[in-house]
Amino acid sequence: MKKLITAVVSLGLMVGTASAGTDVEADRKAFVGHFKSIKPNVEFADYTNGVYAYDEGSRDQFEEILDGIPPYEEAVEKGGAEFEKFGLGKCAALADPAAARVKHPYYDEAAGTVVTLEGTIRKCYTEQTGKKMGTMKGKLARISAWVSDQAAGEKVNVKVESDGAKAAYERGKATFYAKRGQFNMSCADCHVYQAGKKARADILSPALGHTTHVPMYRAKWGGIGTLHRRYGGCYKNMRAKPIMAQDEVYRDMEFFHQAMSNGLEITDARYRK
Amino acid sequence: MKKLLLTTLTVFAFSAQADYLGSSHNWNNGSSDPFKAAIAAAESGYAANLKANMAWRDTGAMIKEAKKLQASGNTAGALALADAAHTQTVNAAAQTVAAGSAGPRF
Repeated sequence: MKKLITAVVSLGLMVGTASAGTDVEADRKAFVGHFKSIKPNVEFADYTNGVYAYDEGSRDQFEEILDGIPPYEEAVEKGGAEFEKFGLGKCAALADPAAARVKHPYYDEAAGTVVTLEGTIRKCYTEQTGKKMGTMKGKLARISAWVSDQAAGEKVNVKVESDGAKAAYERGKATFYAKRGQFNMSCADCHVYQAGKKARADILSPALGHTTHVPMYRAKWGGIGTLHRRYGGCYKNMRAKPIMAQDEVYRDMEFFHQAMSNGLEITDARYRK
Repeated sequence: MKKLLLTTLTVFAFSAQADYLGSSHNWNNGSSDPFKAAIAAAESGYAANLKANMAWRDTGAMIKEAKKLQASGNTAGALALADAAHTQTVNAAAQTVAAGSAGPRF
């Protein structure tokens, strides 16, 4: 037990001291470089399409779905109506929805924590209605999808500047690369090192570009869900106990995860298998 | 004679200690009960895993199920499950340590 506590404290100290040498742009270049090395023919900009950048057959189906009426269209429209209905535009942080999407996630210096778009929507909803909002699907996912749609074509541009932001980024990075659960696998094991390969019948999506189309519509869910919902699903698949959506651990990981997609276009093509 | 004296004194010492502990002391506590020891180890390990955000998905359910089995009289099954849950917590603790040096391999 003593050993475990020492290890956990040491891990915290390591992450804390590591932030002094944080170079997000170098990390991002190495990240992008890895994907270039495993799939030399895939253009950087195409990673906004996720797994469909890798597999032609799946890409055809994806484009057919987009050419018709995408199954999430109605839900996203409803999200727009809900945005108006609940007066979310009255909150300064959401007054310009497109700018809000581009700004998030960011590190709030005063609060000393990473703020996600979903976190801001939930806070604003509570301010306007006095009620609480869920964290993974339903209203939150619909509204977040509509807000993100307003920024389609803009580029992901996560800023990691202060020491606090760098520490949060390093914590998120450590979570992303740490092996966990009974299968002893990290996020990176599937979505970085094995991206493009098959896991049973599915092609593993590349982590690069993952955050350009969130919240996403998944055929498996039959609806829209947030990035943190997906994190929870991946944890469960690895037989690890998921962490609560919007908990600091996932917010920090999203901060790292989004920063790795800096420069990619935000898209409203949010269909995934 | 010496041996007899030593034996008598030893027996006296043990019985005096037993009296001192009183009748409420549970002699069958802790490691003398394999299930209690195993479930306590599993529970404390699981609590540490949760604190480190590195718990495994099924450990909590295994602990609950082990307690149910014990209550229903399936002592062997309960012990096996408690031990398996404990093993999971040990492995999760090892992952927690390894997470300290986790990073990209490129």
